[in-house]
Formats: sequence, C-alpha cells, structure tokens
Amino acid sequence: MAAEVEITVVSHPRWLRVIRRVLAEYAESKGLDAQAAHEVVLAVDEAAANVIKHSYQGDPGRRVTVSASEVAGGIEVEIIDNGEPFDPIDQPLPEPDEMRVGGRGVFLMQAVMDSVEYERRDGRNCVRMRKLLKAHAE
Amino acid sequence: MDLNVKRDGTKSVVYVVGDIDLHTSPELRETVLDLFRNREQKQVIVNLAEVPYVDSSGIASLVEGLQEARKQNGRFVLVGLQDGPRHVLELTRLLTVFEVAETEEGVS
Repeated sequence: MAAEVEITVVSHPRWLRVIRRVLAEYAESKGLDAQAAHEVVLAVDEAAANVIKHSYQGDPGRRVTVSASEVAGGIEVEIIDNGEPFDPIDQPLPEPDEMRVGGRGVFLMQAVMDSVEYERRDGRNCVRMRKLLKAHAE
Repeated sequence: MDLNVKRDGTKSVVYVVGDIDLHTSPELRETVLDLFRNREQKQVIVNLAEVPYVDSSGIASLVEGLQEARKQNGRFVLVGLQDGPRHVLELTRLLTVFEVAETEEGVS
C-alpha cells in the first residue's frame, strides 16, 4: 500500500524532533492511544537515530526517509537510508538492569513494536515496523 | 531543550525543559558530569517535570550521571517523571535502578 505520510529530512539529529511530531500526529489519527502512539514515536526515533549514527556514521548531509501507512489492524512504518549496511536486528541486546551506557535503542524498538524487520534493498537500508491496535494485538 | 542549573552549596538541581534526544542529550550529559567532576557537587537532582520525551541516548546520559555519582560517593535523583520518560525507564528496567521522587520536596 502506498504510504499516507512520508517525510524526508537531512541526517542531522536536530530533525529527529520533526519526524517525531509527524509520527505522533499520524499514530493518533489512526486511533492509537497515547501510550501506543508514544511507543511508535520512540521506535521510529530510535531507528532514525541509528541511521544517523551507524548507516551515515554522523554525516549530517545525507537523507533519511520515514513513511507510514495503514495495514490490517494497525500501522506500518518504514525508515529508509542509502548509507552503509546496518541491520538493527543483528545487534546485541543489553541485559535487564544493566548499567551499560548505550545500546538500548534496538532493544526499545523490539520491545514496543509488534514486528521489526530489516532488508537491504537496492543499496538502501529499509527497517519496517508494525504496531497493531490493542484490539488486534490481544 | 533548555537547561538551567541551580546550585546551593554541594547540592544542585538541573531543570530540563523539552525533549531529551540524540540532538540534546550531550548537553545534559556534559552538564551533569561537570557538576560532579569539576564543581564538587555531592547531590544532583535532575528535574524532568518539563520533559515529555526521552530516548535511549537520554537514558544513556542519565545512566552516566548515576555512574559518576556512585564513583564520587554522591547522589543522583530524578524528579517529576512524566508518563513517556517513566515508560522508557520501565521498558529498560532502569526505573528501580535510579532514585526517583515525585517532587524536589520529596527528596529527603
């Protein structure tokens, strides 16, 4: 299905806030409650931050595209970049309660979304995540 | 994000306003670490009452603050957690690791 919402920003952390605002508006428009909408925003923010840090290795002049669409029972978001291959699913997860400083972004993405998939497609990284409405998830 | 620090002897309160994310968390991290390392502060309260959102980099900055407090035999307290940041701390199972209070007055 074609995306209902698509936003492209340059890969500078200052624009993450704009992505969050767009996704919050979209999630709420689709009937997600406040906590579910926050979780979608968190997962997309973490995925986009990973693009900036890992795929683009801090280069602020590249592009990150986030799109969102409605699927049966919920919403699907895609985060796309054309940087170095980076599979967020293939990263070590921290132990609970661990006093480690970083490395919790991927854990959070997987904790709050119903599915997280990664694909390297036409030289681009594509992270696809789904969040189901509660009535469908239970 | 805006930061405002109020110091009283060896106790400080860091007032944060706005989202803590990949863009803003370095400033919070540097501010907290500076209080413990260079300004002889023994207690740092981070007031998050005006913070609607914290991401994993914000969590990382807070963990570093707590680590530094322990290293200096100091105290590091989070107050005024809104639902979003509280949820992220719960998800990462760090809510019980931090000392948390509802208000500054609630910090004994």
